[in-house]
Amino acid sequence: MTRCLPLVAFVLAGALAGASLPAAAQGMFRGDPSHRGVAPEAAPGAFHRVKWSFPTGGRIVSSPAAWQGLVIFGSDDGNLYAVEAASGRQRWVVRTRGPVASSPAVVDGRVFAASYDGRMYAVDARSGEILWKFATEGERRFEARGLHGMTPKTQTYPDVYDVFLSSAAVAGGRVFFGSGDGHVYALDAATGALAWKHETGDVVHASPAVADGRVYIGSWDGKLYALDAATGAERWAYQAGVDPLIHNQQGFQSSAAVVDGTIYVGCRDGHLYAIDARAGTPKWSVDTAGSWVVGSPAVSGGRVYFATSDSALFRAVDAATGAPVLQKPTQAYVFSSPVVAGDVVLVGVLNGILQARDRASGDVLWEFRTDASRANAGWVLTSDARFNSAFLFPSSWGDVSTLGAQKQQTVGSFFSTPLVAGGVVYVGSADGRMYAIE
Amino acid sequence: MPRSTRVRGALALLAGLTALAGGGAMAVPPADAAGRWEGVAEIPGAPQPLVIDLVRDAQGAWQGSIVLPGRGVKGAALDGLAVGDGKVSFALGAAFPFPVDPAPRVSLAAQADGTLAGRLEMGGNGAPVTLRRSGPPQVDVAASTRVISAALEGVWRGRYELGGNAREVTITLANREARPAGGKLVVVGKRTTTLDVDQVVQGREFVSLRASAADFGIEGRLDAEAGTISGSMSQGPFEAPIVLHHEANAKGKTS
Repeated sequence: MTRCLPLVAFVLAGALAGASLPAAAQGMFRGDPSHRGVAPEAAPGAFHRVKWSFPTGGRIVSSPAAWQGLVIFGSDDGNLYAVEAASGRQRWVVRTRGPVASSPAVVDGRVFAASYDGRMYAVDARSGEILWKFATEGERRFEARGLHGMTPKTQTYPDVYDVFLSSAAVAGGRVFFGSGDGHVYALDAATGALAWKHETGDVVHASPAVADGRVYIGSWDGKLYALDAATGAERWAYQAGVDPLIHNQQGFQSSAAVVDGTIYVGCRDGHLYAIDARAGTPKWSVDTAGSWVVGSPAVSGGRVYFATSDSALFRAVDAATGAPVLQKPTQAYVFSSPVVAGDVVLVGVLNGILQARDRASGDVLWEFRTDASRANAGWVLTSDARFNSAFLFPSSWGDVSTLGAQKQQTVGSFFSTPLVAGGVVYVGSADGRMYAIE
Repeated sequence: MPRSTRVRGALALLAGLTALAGGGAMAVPPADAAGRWEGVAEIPGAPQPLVIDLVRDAQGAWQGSIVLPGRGVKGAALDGLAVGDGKVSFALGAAFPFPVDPAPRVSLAAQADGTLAGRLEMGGNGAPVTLRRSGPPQVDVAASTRVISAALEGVWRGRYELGGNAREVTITLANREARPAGGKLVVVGKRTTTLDVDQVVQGREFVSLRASAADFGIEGRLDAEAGTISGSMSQGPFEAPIVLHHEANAKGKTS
């Protein structure tokens, strides 16, 4: 959405934008605790076929992790799955009591994943045996009165675009994650015992980055926090934009990438920020004209790659200055996080299209489109794969807006961030399938 | 040619011959029904994707499970599964969160083009269903522990509270011949409810018990020395803390 639109339009289109996250390299979301978003191997330069697809009972917003021939991911059907990468056959499943909308981290043979049942699970990666669970004070979506301009404006609405749970970062024997209860947690990875927790002002569904003894994580209170990894003590908090009127232009869903002492992070206030990791002061910011930056930036070769929601752009800026390098249309909102994989950048789009782009030029090399997206079910998309928003959001009435937002995902939206392993791209879709693409 | 391709080819040939001999529906040898079948139930305005897995176990009995993408259902067991004479039918009671009477039912017949076609019936409504084979079967089987430890066998007692009302729980767990471990669960509150514990999963320390018929579960950490399971009970959306005491250690304890 853009700020110049009338409020209703602003609200409706905005309702379409928003969530965050996903995984990149191998063992955890964005590859490692610093969240650079760079895969350790190149993605295919061309699309050949879908090697297999694994159906689940709910949408998949979780980003897969790879471990010893397994692809491990969560589904909104409440299950955490391990599927054999070679065959697409299920190795094990752990049933939780809520959508597993987080991305698993796999460290030392243990899988750590959060569920909407309010628990962090530790699971044996080989067998799927539950090792421990840790109960937070409970999960919830971000919510606000008159959210995104929905009416009646005095009604409190859960944000349908708050689709991701915080994904664990594991470092130094500790599991770090955020929760809908507003806290950032640090647990002992071996036992699940609480090491510390730090309270923020609202839901924490971004995922923590860990570097140089600090945990960096944003909250829906609009602050990016730097916490001491050992004690949880707050080192600094950077206040990004807030939106007291309709709460549309505030909150961190994007997870920070920490590279060479700089934090790169997107925000729903319509900015990409570069912040000095030590001092917490901004180095530069990119104004996206009100469009959310929900996914997490990828940082490679002196560039920061990110994508936007309503303006539907894939962008790269100079990591040192924020100066624009390239900008390409994605047709629809992007919540998935770009992954740099060799000379390719993979970008999942909510219109059900996975784009493989040339890293240098940003041009599309190949695309994979879900069947649901091809079918253009229910006029959700226009013929050029944009969201048919005028049809989906005929009014600002809350129920109508919520239904429209849910309808958008029927095209097999890619919230999940792709994983590249063994020359195969793995990515989950809102159509409920984990795809293996080669 | 891969084996799956050969099987499909044979099925198609058989289907074609049978169709020539007698019309649309045809008899499918039971072995050919085994596999993963995917398609859609054409519910008006809300087409429902279906993924069905069919396989025969070592004794030759058919087993099956279903995935309903978008409905949160993955691996629900197919009840009353019948395969034969070119037909496949089953009920879907396990795929819904509360009992439906009569249970939704799917009835399919093999078609000349190798598909399974038929109808989903539920609550007096019906929708056409067409399924195509998409690969080998991946039937979901609930992961139950075959043999539980002596420390877990026996009678366990505990109490929990929901909405201010206390419930006394007695669970009897045992190893069973030719079946995974299981047992009985008795809950005494305003009334007495007896349930089968149809799933017991014992890990290194973590224990999970489930009575599927009532969506009732207890899970927690087993302390074999103390004779306790400390954790929580759940039923549908409700949860409460509970500590179970092994009868041998439970004298005078009711927490």
